[in-house]
Amino acid sequence: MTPLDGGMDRRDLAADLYFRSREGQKLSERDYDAKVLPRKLKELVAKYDIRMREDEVIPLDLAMARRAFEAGRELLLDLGCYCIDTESTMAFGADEVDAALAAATTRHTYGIGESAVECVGRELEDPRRPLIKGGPNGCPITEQGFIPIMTSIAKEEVDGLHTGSLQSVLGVPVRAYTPIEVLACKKEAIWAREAVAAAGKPGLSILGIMSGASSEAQDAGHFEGGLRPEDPHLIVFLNELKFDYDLLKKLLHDKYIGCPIDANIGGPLHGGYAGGPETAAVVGIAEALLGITVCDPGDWSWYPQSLFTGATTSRESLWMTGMMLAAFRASGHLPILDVYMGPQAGPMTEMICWETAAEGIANTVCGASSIYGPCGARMIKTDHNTGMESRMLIEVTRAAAGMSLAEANDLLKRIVPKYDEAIKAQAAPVGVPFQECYDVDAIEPFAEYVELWEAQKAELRTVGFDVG
Amino acid sequence: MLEQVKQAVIEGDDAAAALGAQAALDEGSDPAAVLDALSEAIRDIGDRFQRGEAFLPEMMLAADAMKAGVAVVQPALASADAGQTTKGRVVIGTIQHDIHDIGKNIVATFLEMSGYEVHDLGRDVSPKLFVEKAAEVGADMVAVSVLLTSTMAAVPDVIEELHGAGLRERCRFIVGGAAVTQTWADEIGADGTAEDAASAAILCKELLS
Repeated sequence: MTPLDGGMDRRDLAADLYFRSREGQKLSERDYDAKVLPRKLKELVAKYDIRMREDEVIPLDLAMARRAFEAGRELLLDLGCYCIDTESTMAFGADEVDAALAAATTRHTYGIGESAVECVGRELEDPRRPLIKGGPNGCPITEQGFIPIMTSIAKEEVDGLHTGSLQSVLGVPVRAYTPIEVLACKKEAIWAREAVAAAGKPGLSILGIMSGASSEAQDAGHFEGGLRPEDPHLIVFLNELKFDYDLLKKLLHDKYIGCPIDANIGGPLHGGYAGGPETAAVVGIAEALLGITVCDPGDWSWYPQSLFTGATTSRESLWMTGMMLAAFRASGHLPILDVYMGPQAGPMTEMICWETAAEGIANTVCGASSIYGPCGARMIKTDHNTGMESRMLIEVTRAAAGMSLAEANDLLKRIVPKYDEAIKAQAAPVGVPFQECYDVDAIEPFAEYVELWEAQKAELRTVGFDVG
Repeated sequence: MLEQVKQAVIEGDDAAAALGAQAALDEGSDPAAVLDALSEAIRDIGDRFQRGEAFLPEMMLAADAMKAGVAVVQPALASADAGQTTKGRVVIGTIQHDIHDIGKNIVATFLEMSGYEVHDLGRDVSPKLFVEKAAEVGADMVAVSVLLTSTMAAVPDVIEELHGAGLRERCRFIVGGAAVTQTWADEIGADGTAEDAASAAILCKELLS
């Protein structure tokens, strides 16, 4: 029993979770990470017979996808999630998870005016392309580079913008939990708004705030002149199936604001606590169900990377992302599910073109609602983001929309080998920063980058993918 | 029996590793040979991780099993004057206000597997706490992990606190994480940085040899 049992305003759900976490089953975090979660995942993968097959880059067996959904649901019902502040697990009932999924948002309008776009829960093999929300996805951006980079992305046919993390503000390095952190978050919002205005799209949806570590600073980016009430707030869970009180604070606050929520996780992480691609897919499905149950979000998004490659484009990551999406779609569930895309290679390299093509195709046919990025150079190199990567992804997803799973899988078997060995060796070229592949004043790509992409499109045609 | 000890470590079974190590000693095995078996097993799991065939939980459990085995062997080694079982003491943690600890956990596990005595302070660790712990355990090295750029600013404070406590001369300092570059590590006066956990273990060996 918690003080909120017997009648609760849904906006108070985070407070309810707080009370429940205090009554949860005590368990050390190390035992949870290294023993309890991995063992349960192995049991479920065996019970539901979930296996990554040699001939599949994306899952083709929809019966297996439906079993994966059941495995993820069982994981959440049996194990629940873990609160790092109380060092306890808390379970969820089938009734609350199923009711939340049934009521989950399946379409939502982002942006306003001429930039308003409708985001939907796409089906497998859906003829509509996913929305592309371009941007650095939180990776480091210099103060000087921020507006030009964001403008370069907003100038493309993107459906929204995802901001990056300012490294400094007014020349002062951003420092967490200080007034400078709040100032950076305010400036991030203002400058992002300036960027979309400069691109002639003042109503474009903006997702942030990324320059602050504390929930208070992140929420500080939403104000008149900064991010709008229609712009989503990020609620970020921890790997795997974990949360802390800072998340609950932000969730409670955001619910009362009434803004859309983008609940997400920097995972599942192949090679980490989630284990291999099959177990990682199962925990990823449970995480999406957790987000939907707890946040009642506008969106749920994964950043499904690999510990071994630092990228989302490895063969294992493509398969597990495809399985997570297919699990929901093949089971008849159409919540808004998004994917963060982080190639290992950086701007103005051939390899990022191959990686963008592969993940763009995979996520499109498997039913992603939106794709964030692509954000190259493993999302760690400063200013390694440009509008050109968004252009590539838009063209790829447009060409892939409506493709069958089998057709896409055949294509992916020809594309992934173009970069897979380099990814495994962590040898992808990091490319160049924005300032070295764009005319910074005109905010236009250098001809060299445009020509590189055109040449790569010709290469893609030789393997059977006509990008147009 | 030594094969059973190795298998127990590979399977991450700490109880079996301790029992196996004790049984091997009881059978008359050389304590150094038991230690070698434990080390061989941990190298095996580390190599499998490097190849993408084993995952973080297996490594963490294997490290626990190795420590359980070493704890059994250590008194016998000491009595046999067979040398030290630890290569050095390392205090590790994720910097203040940063709650991302997977990278730090991998490095800590690799260091344990490489024979270092690791004192893991967890996440969101203040500069002062790093230094207090280093003084308490007589650390040879402090290792700081940082993911978020906004939390990087607190890292130089750890070095400053080490200087303030008079520990900087004897205590090496390394820093790592997604946001860290060699240039920045040099600028703040760190002794080194590494791109991944295996490289961090090599760096430790170089700095503490």
